[in-house]
Amino acid sequence: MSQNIRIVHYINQFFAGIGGEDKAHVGVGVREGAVGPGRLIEQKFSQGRIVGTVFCGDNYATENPLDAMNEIIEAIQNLEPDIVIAGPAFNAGRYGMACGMVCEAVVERLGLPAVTAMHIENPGVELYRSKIYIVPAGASAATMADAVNPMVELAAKLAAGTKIGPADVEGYIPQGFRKNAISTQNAAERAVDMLLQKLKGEQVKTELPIPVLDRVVPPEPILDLKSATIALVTEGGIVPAGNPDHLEVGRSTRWAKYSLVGIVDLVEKSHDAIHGGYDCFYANKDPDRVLPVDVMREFEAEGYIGKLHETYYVTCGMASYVANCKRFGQEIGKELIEAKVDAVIATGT
Amino acid sequence: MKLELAKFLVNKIEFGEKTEYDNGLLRVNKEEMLGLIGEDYRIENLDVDITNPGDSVRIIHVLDMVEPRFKPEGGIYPGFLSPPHTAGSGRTNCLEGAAVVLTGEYSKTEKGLMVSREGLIDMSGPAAQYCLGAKTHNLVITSKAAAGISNADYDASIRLASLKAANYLAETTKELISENIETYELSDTAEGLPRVAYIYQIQSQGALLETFVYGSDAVNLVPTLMHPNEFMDGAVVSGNHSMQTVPTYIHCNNPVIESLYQRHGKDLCFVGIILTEGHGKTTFLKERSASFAAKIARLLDIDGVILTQEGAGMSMIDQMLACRECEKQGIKSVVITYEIGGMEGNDVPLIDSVPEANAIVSTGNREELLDLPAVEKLLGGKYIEGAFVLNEQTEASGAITVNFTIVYSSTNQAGAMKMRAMQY
Repeated sequence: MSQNIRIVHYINQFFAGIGGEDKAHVGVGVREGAVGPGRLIEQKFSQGRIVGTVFCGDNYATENPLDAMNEIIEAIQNLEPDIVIAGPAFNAGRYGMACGMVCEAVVERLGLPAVTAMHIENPGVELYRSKIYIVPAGASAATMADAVNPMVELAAKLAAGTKIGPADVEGYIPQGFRKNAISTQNAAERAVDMLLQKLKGEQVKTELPIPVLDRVVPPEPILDLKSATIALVTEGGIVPAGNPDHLEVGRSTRWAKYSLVGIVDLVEKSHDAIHGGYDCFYANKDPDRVLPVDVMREFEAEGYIGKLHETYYVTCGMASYVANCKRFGQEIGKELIEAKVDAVIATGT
Repeated sequence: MKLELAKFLVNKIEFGEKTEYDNGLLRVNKEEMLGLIGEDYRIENLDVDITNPGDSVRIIHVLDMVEPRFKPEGGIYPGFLSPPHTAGSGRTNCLEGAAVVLTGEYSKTEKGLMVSREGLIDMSGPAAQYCLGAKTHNLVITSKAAAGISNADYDASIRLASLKAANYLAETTKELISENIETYELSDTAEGLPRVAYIYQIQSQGALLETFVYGSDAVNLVPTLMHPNEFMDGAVVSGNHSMQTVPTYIHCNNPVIESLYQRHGKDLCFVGIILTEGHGKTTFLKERSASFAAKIARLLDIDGVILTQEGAGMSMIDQMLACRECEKQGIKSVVITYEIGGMEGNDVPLIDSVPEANAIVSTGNREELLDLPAVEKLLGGKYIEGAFVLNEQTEASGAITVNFTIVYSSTNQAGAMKMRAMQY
């Protein structure tokens, strides 16, 4: 079986040699044979050859995903591949997303195997790892060879129709499920081995890693509410009518802030509840149910609190990745501290 | 404390005129066996059957499994068949490769905890590699609760029947001399090696979900120190009929005890067993139990512990708390646990966890599905009930799809099996 596996390689405008950020808008194109990193892939992939390279600008791919994917898939299909390799995308966010999208579309629409590589922190990992095979790569193209080798190994197995084993055996980023297998030793024998390693101070490889989550300790209460500035922050998805910034309804990658100047009460049609994780009917009838501006204004008028901070912060927490949520908290917290806010009421749904 | 375990290997079981052990062949006089265990008004339709590995046989309604053991000087299964005197010394004969498999059908008038949560053993086919009992030559006890008898009463009576049957079978070796005697003793050759204890959790939630220590249920047991040999004589007996709990067979053949004994004097010093009860019913009891377990370990100057659990959510919390308390005291820990990760394996696999549990050994996801082919002969009953079989209406001898939960002991919580879950 020499070189008869037909590979199509997907890359972005930069690796296609067209240009950097200034050329990120370019559309879909096709080159014959291997281009850029494809040459290294072809060199390593002894049983196959790259029959064509499909490229696309990162902005075009991520800002017009429907059109871009239709065009990319059509171009790939025309090349009649046995397998599609995308990237490596390293830690380039939009390139990673594009590689993920392309691989997902290849698997779902063409029924062909696909593999890509990117850095573990690339947002494309969290979005696509459950659906496709992603091999871990370094942060920059300097690590090209390290990323290409495992990607090619996995691609060769996929192309040959070999059953793919567990993540740490095959070297891909876990897709997020666990399957039973038979080990060579019983669990008790493995436990004693593991304990002896631990007692010697050696690195132990747990069979079931436990996610370590932060615990947020509530701060001390405010002593003098009457002079305190209090802000409203919500993950409940209350946005001005029409969702002007197209905030995501879940799996959020960003947050937004809006003015409360002159607003004493949120009413139906002034604001929308867009959250994808709860029935928004009652929140849309009266958005104060999630973002209690009305009550805060009453407190302000009574002098029970000093004042309501005139900007509120919002995102949708539903199924959002912890890493993103942590970043939201840090970014929002920084602004609130700069604005000399004393306390926050954070509502959740 | 020194125990000599005299092993008599069984490679076939069959019915015959005389109950005897004959050079690997275990012959059973059925009438005599039934006479011995059948004199109990609480049991109806009592029968015994035999089955060997490779048979096209499926056993359902499996409640417990017991290894035939006998002590020539008396004292086996203390608290049940003998007074609750400290066990674990002298000579114990065992029929290695044989087992008494206890099945039973409860009355369906009782609900809640008082229903059966049973296991399944396939003697051949794809499930045989996963379930305990598929590689042993089994005497299978079947019966149902007599009319008007509570399930708790019936359960107590069949437990006694299974222990008596096990003792009766092993008694055949009374006059025989084994060529295979293993000596178990915590010798003092291990001084200077890391001191290791086993935090051995048993579950006692209530009738049908209880474990006995010297014949008495272990509800709210304050963690206590035991010698590993005590378990080999049956100091702990299971009445815990809940899917993947620890059968009496495993309490006597505990794999953690076996592994620690094998390393004793070579890599570690096996100090003893801290027996705890899982399923602490309140936070108070949970914290007290975890603290007591860690305190005993500290008093014994323990460097490392292995923790097993028995049960599900409540017991997992207890195991994790004990792990945390030990790590807080600077005692290194390894946790053995099964996973409850959903049929697709994509659910959160543990009901509770603590960050200190950084060394976990998995015994597999009990919720994964397994397809079983039809078999020629069915023992124990006719239909499997409950959520763990996808074809509840199909007679259990047919092709069925089941959850690993009912594949008997496949995710054994004491770590006896080779299955584990892998990350994909």
